[in-house]
Amino acid sequence: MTERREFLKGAIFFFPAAGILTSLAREAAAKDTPQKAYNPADHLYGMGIEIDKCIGCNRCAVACKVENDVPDEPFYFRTWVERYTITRDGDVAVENISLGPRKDTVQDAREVVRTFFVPKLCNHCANPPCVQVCPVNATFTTQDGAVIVDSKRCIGCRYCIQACPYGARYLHPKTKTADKCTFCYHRVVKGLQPAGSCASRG
Amino acid sequence: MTPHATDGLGELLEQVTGFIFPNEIEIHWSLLIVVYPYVTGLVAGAFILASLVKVFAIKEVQPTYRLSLLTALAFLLVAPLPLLLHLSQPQRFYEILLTPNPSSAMAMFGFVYAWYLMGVLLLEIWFEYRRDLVVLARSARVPLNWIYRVLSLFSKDITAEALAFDRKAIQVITIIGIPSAFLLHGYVGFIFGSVKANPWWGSVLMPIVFLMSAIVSGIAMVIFLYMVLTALRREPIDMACLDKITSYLFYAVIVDFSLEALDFIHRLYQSEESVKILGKLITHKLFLSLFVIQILLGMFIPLGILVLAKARGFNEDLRKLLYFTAVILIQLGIFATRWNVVIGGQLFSKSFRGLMAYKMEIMGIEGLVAALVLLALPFVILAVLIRLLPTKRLEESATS
Repeated sequence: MTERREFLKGAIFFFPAAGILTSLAREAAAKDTPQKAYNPADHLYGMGIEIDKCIGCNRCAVACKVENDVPDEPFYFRTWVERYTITRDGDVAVENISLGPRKDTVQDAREVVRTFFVPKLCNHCANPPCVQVCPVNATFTTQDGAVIVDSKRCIGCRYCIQACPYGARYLHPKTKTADKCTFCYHRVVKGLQPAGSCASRG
Repeated sequence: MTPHATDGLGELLEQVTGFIFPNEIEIHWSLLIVVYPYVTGLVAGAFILASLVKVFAIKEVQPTYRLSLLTALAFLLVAPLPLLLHLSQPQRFYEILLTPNPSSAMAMFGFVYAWYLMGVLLLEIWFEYRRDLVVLARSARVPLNWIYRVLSLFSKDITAEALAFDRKAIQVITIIGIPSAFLLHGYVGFIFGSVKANPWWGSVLMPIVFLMSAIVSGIAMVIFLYMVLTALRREPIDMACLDKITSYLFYAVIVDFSLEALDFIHRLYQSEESVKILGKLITHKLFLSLFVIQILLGMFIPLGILVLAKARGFNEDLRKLLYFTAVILIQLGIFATRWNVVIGGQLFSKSFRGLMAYKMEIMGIEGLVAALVLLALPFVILAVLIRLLPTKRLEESATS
C-alpha cells in the first residue's frame, strides 16, 4: 500500500517537471540554430539578359511553365523567346520560338544581316502602368522591386492586361485571375535563383 | 478552362497575321465591354437633353423632359451589369468599392457612378415627380397607393411654396448634373484614353470624342422613344418639339464628326511609330465597321437626311419618316463607334507587327445573346417606369 502511495507521489511531481524540462530544452536547442527572417528592405532585384549569348534553347521558358503551373497551351506565357531576323533589304522578321516546333523557313544566309534571340518577360517596371490601373490593388510592387499579383484579391477586370505595354500579362484559365512573371518571388525570398535562370548561362 | 474555350483560341492563332506577343491572342475586353460605353453614353446624352429644358429654358423641348430623365435612369440601372458579367471573379466585385486603388480610373468610376445615380439622377427625378407622387398616393388604388407613398418618401406638402422649392432644387441639381453627366461618360473615355500602352486608345481626345458621340446617341434615343411612345399612345406628336430636338441632334452630329475627323487627321499627320499598323488595322480589320457603318451609315447619311429635312420644307409625315430613319442609323453608327474603339484596340499587337482576330461567342456569359438581353433590358425597365411615373404632368393631362 505505501509503495503505491510513494509511487503516485513521485509521479505527480515527475510528469509536469519532465514536461517543463523538455520544452525548456527544445527552446534552448532552437536558439542554437537561428532562422534569419527575410527582410525585403535589404534587397533590390534586377535581371540582366545578354542577348548575344542567348542560343534560343527555350529551356528558360519551359522551366518557368513547369515551376509556376502555367498552362501548357500556347496562349499563356509568363516568359517566351523571340527570334529576330534582319535581312539585307532592312526587313525585320520576328517569330515566337516558344510556341513549339516550327517549320523552318528556308532563309538564304547571304540575305541575313543579323539574327538574335530575345527572351521576353515582365520587366518589373519601376513605374508600372499595371499597378497604377488595378482597381483593387491586387497587383503591387514589393519593396525589393518585384511586381506581383495577389490572386486572392484580383477581380479579373483585365485592365492591367490592357495597360501592359509588353504583353507580359494573361488571364490564368484556372484561377481566373491576372497572372504574369513574378520574378519567382517564392524562390528569391529563400535565396534561390528564379526558375528561368539561363541553363546555357546566357 | 473548358476545352471548348481553348479550341477557340487555337482557331484564332490561325487567323493571326504577322507577329503578335503570345498572350495577346485572347481578346480580353469583348462584346460586353462594347455594350457598356454605349449604354452609359445614352445616359449622358439623355440627361443633357433634359437639362436643355431646365437650365437653358428651351421650352419647345419640354414634352420630352420627363421621358429623358426616365430614359437616363433605365439605362443607368443596366450600365453596371455588363461590367459585372465580364469580371472573371464577379463575386469579388465589392472590393472595388471597399478597398479601391485611388490611382485607378476604373476604381474611381464606381464612385462617379454612385454619385451620379444618387446625387443627381434620382434626386432630380424625385423633385420633378414629387407633386404627382403625392397626388397619386391619394388617388391610386391599393397597393399602388402604398408604392406611391413610399416613392414620395411620405411627403405630403404640395403648397405653392413647396412646389417653388421643388423647381429651385431641380434647377440646382441640373446645374450640378451637367458636369456630372460629362464626368460619367467622359470617365469611360478616360479609362481608354489614359492607356499609354495602346496607341489606338491612348489619346487626349478620347474622353471628348466619347462624350460627344454619347450626346449624339442619347438625343437620338430620346427622339426614337418619343416617336414610338406617341405612336403607341395614338397621340399627335408635337412637331415643334421634334424639329427643335432634331436640330440639336444635327449640331451634336456636326461637332462629333469634326472631333473624330480631327482625331484622324491628327494621328495621320503626327505619324507616330504605330501609324503603319493602325492603318493596316482600319483597312484590313475594321473596314466594314468603321468606314461603312460608323462613318457612312452612322454619320454621313443621317447628316444628309437631317440637312434635307431642314432645308426642304417637307410635310410632317415625310419629316417624321426621315427623322426616324436618321436616329436608327445613328444608333447603329454609335454602337459601331464603340465596337471600333474597344475591339479595334485589341486587334493589333503591341509589338506593332501583327493583327489578331476576335471571334464573338453566341451563347455564353459574354456572347451575343447576353449582349442583346442587356440592350433590351433598359427598354423593359423604361416601360415599367413609364407605367409608374407618368411622362406628362398630372395637371397637364387633366386639362388636355
